[in-house]
Amino acid sequence: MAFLQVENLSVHLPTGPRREIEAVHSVSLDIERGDRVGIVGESGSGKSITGRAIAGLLPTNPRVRVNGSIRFGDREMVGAPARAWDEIRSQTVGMIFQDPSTFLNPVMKVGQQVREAIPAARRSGRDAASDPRVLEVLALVGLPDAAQVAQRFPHELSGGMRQRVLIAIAIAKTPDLIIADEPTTALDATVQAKVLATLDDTVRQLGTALILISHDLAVVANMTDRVYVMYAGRVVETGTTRQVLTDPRHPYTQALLRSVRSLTDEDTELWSIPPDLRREIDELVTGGVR
Amino acid sequence: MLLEVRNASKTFRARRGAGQVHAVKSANLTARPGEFVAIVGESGSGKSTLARILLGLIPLSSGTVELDGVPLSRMTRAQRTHYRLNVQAVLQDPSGSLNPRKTVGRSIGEIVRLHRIAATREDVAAKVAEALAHVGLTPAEHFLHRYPHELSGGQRQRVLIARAIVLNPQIIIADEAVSALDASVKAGVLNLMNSLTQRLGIGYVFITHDLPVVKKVAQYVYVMKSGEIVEEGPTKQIFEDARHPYTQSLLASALSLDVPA
Amino acid sequence: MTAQQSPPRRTAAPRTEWIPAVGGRGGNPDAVWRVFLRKPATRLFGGIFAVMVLVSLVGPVFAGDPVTTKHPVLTPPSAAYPLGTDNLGRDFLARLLDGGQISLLVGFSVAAMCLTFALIVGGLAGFYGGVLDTILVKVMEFFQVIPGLVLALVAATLIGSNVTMIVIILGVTMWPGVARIVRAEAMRISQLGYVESQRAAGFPGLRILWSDVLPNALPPVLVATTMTVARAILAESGLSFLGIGDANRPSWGALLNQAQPYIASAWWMALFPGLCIFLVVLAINMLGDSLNDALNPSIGKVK
Repeated sequence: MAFLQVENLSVHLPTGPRREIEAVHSVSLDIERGDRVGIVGESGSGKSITGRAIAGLLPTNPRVRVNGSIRFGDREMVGAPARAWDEIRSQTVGMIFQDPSTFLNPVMKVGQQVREAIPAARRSGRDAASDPRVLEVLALVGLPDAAQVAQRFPHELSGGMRQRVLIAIAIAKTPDLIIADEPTTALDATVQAKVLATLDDTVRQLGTALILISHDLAVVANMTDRVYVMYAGRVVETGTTRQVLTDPRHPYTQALLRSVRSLTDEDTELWSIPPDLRREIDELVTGGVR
Repeated sequence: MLLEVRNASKTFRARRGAGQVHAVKSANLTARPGEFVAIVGESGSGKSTLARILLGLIPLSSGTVELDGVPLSRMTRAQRTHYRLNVQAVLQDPSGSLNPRKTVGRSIGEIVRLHRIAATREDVAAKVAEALAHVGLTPAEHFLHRYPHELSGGQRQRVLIARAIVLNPQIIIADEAVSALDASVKAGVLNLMNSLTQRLGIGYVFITHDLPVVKKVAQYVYVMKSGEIVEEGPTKQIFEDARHPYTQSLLASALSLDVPA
Repeated sequence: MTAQQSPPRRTAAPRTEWIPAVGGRGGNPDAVWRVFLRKPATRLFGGIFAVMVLVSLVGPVFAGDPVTTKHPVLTPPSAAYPLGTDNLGRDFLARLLDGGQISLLVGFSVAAMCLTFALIVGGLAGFYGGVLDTILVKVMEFFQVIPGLVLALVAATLIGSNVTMIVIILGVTMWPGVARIVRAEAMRISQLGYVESQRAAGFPGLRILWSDVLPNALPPVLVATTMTVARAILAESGLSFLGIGDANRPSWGALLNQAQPYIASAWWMALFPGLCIFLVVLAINMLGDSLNDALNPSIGKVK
């Protein structure tokens, strides 16, 4: 039985007083323990919504509809009560978002926020900065001088350090799965390299499964073993990362790769997906329906 | 035409009164029409401050910005207008760089009217249509009455470029103009920028933190760190024979598409 | 131009996936208006308010003379006198309608005054910042601490009370509240990319303030101005009730004041003005609330 099995997931989101859009259509994934999987796509492809759906973090607007199946082991989560999701999120799934500033409480010290994620530490009533579990987790994510950092507020830390704190919070509850949504997009290149290395290390050490959502193929290439390519809310191609990136089958993946390579390869001219090719791909993927 | 920055420095008073922030220290830079110059640096490097200095949006603490030998600070009104017409900006953040309450037609048209490039309704409309055509947003009628939120990120970026070129500038200062765009859209906009150089002779000062992109489009690169230009040179040289350790570390952090074994 | 006090913030434009919002700040201006008009609250209370305004404007023409004392004294509502007559034999319906004109006039005039001052002072302060901001904030604070009631009493004693004086005093004491909101919005908007783009394009400061900053600052300001109408009507009613009101053209509050000795005997003299004040304030507040909702929709909190 797969650790996480998503079958035929679809998500409808409201876009106006009387309109809605199908952001995710018929998406299926399966993740085993320890898997390193990427979800790749452009903005609007539905990759973030998929990630949020798996973590149970979609808006509670009653017009948001989720259909299909999301199963952790034999636990079906679609339609499950909030309590079930709370449980899953406190033990099984940790999520790392792109923008730490909206996820970190600006008026709470960092150490405290990490402690909030560890039920045992919370109960112990010890001061966050001296709690060994908090310090251990902060050290694990490569934050130098963990005791010092624990005493700081988020705005006193650099972007890279904040992102590492997010990782720390996510792993503090020793989840079985981490979903990272564009974790390094807002960071500078040098910091990105370090944070990704940290994430890589951590996940490897703890044996956690990882779903890495990104528009950046290079990030996915370096961090994942398998990849799902999404376009217009659907999975258009999947396979091992190596396979998909060196020998793409779907026209969209081929076009995407061509475009990305044209940005970095010396000898190729800059190439963007022309409108008629895009229309063709749209037709192919969605059959004209959206 | 020659845009020159000589020994420019800018110091800000830090927020909590704790000393000063040296955003830019003794920067030297030149830009010409038809040339693609890049300023590369990470956050806090001062590159955005330098961009705004080039645009005359921030006064210098010391040094000069000169257009054809005339310093910005000593320009007459007419010379200033000449400066504005010839050095335009495409700034970062596509979701915030356009007034959400103005249609595309109005956003571009008001610039035309401000600088009296055209006066009558028809003339202004013609100019706007021309600019939209240059950036590939055709048919123009389709876009004139759109609001920014009705456009995609790439389209908004093109509108920003249209606003910049409608005055026929010689040099465009582009601050993170493509950073927030998806790969294909990014390639499209960069292609557009190159084609504008070919068609209209526009030169660029391209500010970015994205080093790999620079390799593709720029001819000359300035690398900035903590307010200083630590290295500069032709693109090939920077990428193949970087001298400064910071440049080398920047190059080393770039992730490649090749899947590690 | 604004003297920049700190280095320009480079915020990486977030690549958040598009979770669409309905209307909202900076969102589709047309949609916000339509959402507002579609809300049942808007239709109900907008209707009530519109009716009251219309009746107050047009009613007096048909209702007869509010001043003549020829009618029988203190008659309860009947066919001949729909709202009865007062202690001096005046047709109460006529007086109520006339009073409505005054109350509403005061409400709108004060709100208009507040909006004007607030946009000018708040806009300049928020946009230019620096020394100008410090000075203007002090000005706002000064006017905010003036005790309106005391000022009104003093003015009434010195000049005698009339509608103009009341409008001026209320306007002068109520505008800082709205100005604060304008200032906060102007400050926020001035940091946004499009203001900087306009500067780079060569637009002069005041033009940017007028054409880009203020229009985008309007939503919360409009809500506040709507509430100001209600507050002004209430304040004026309060002042009139205390006797500081135009004796010749009594507003609803003044009518309430005049009804005091007759509360037990002539219930209609107190009920109708009170009811009118209540209804109009309720309607305006609900409209303001509805407008606020249309402007700041929540797509729903994350579980």
